[in-house]
Amino acid sequence: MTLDHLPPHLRSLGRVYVDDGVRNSSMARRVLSRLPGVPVFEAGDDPVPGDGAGHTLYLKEYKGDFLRFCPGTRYYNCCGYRIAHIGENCPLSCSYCILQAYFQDRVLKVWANSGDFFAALDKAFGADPDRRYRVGTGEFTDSLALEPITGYGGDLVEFLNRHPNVCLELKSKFVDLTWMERAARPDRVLPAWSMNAPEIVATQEHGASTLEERLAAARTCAEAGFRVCLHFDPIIHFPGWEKGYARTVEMIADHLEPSQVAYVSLGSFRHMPELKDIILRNHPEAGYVYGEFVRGRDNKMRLVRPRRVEQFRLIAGGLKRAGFGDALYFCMESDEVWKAVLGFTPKGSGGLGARLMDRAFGM
Amino acid sequence: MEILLEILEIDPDALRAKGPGLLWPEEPDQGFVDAVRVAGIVDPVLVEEAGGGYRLAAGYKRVLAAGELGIACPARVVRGTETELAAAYLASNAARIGSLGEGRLLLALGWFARKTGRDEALDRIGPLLGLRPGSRRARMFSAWLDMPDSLMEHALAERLPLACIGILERMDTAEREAVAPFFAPWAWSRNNGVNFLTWVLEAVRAANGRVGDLLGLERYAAVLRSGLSPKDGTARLCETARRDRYPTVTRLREEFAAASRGLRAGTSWKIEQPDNFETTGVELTVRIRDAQGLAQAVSGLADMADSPVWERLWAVADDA
Repeated sequence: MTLDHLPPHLRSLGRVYVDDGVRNSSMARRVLSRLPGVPVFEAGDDPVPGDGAGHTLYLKEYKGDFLRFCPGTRYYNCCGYRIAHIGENCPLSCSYCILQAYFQDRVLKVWANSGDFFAALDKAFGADPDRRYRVGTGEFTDSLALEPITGYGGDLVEFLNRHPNVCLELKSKFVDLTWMERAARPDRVLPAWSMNAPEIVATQEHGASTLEERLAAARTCAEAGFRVCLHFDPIIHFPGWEKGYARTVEMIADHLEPSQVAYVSLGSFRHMPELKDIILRNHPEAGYVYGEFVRGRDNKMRLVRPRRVEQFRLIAGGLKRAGFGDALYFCMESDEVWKAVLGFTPKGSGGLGARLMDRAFGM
Repeated sequence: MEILLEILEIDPDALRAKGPGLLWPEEPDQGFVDAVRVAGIVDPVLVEEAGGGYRLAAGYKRVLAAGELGIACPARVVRGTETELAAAYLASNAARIGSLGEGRLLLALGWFARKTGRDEALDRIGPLLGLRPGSRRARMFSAWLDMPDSLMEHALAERLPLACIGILERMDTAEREAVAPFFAPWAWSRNNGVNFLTWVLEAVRAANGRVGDLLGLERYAAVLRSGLSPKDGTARLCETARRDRYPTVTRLREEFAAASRGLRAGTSWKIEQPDNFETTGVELTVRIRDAQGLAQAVSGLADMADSPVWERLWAVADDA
């Protein structure tokens, strides 16, 4: 049997490994029913063998923490995002992706003990209904890349109908809106898409939905009452970046009203030093790795500050002129950059986490 | 290959020196000649039978010393193919290998690779040259065999460090030809060679440009024509390439250094920007050895405190 019923990025899945403990779980049964004809193997004690190309799926009985803090550092302002951890790795191979350095393999891992996952979240979110949470699934994987086979995003949306103190962000480079009909409170779900210059989307995000498709989906969500999030991350410095990012800002303004957007993040391409060689090995055409990077205070390589500020000013300026100024924030940036571009620092506005929490909850 | 046990006494002048397998012929220095004068030639040279006489296979330096002293040269006859004789030469020179430059080792590997093919040269001869099969060093030497003559010439002359192979492999044919002339006038240190090539290539890649166009600019050509000493010439080229690779950082550092130089003049304070201009912070350090030094440092700091230059230092990266 073929996988033609699935989106193109999932049709090349060639084998599935399953932990014995989750073989009969509802998640495993669902995934396997949607992958007819794909060979299934029992995962043993040895690491699941990958093929280096993201064609292997591993339904894992995960024993770690399902609710985590985003791995920020104290030297730069972190947004305080909490991670609802549903799996690891991504079927895309975006040239800049940090996951290339985070994980040793490209095996797509799904935590198939979803009962344990929801129990952990229920315990955390139910402990104090007055405590608000802003969570997302798009840190160690794309929130919706595997949605056609796992339905994890939809399950989570439905689960959180019982937890109005939680606002869920689903961050993706794909268009999958199947979760929408399961959301009882559109004001508690923030569909989010990664934004970039059209040239970067076309050349560095192979297999992802186009910018036009993402923004059209965002508009669909907005028209259904959801507020959306947009993430310019990573912003890439490449010849012609000015025109490229200006074009993206124009496209955003063509598709969305400022009131339909909860927040827009700006994050410059930054990476662990070892990622450069990995990128060059996997994507030798990625000339942006030769930008003027310096070691930041968190030991990651960042574009030298004046060049970052230059890019941020152009993008933020365009978004401000289009009315999106109030929604802007920086992902992992210094007070110096905040002041230079936006004229204030997060500390001066009550803290970034608190500000985004308010924006997420529509306050 | 066969080496006869009999030791012959041969007139050095009768040996046709520099056979094809004599890869690293070396003139004897006075110390060597003196040693031969005192003790004679204790280790017979190797010769092959050729045209009714003998041709030297190993022992060039000993033969020349014997000739200079007018003494007969002890020799053993070796029989084998050209590559076997050359291998015997390497074995005979095993004690020298640790002190030979990389260019000479590459010369030998290249000679064998042309005769036997690369794989056999690496497997059989590599260990004689200190190249463990499969090792990083062996891979580096192997990669050099693919380099064009224009670069190989400088590597063999030990002007172009073999460690540059990693960055040269990332270049295309035209790029390799464009960098080759920069290794003609001077012997480069390993660090300078790698940095220069890396900065040039990455500056070009960042701008979607061409190596030939960048290196054709007058600021590079002028250094080549300058007649500077090797140390100064290579340093100047490195500085030029670094400026092209990191124009913003270089300019910020220069502006910061210029401003701080005047500020700290006459004091023992050192002023630095500690974090690549990620912050506006300025770091001051001083080393104090005694009470007088402490008093001077405090006084110097007090003198600096009111300077308007501080504002400039804090804002160097803000205004860029």
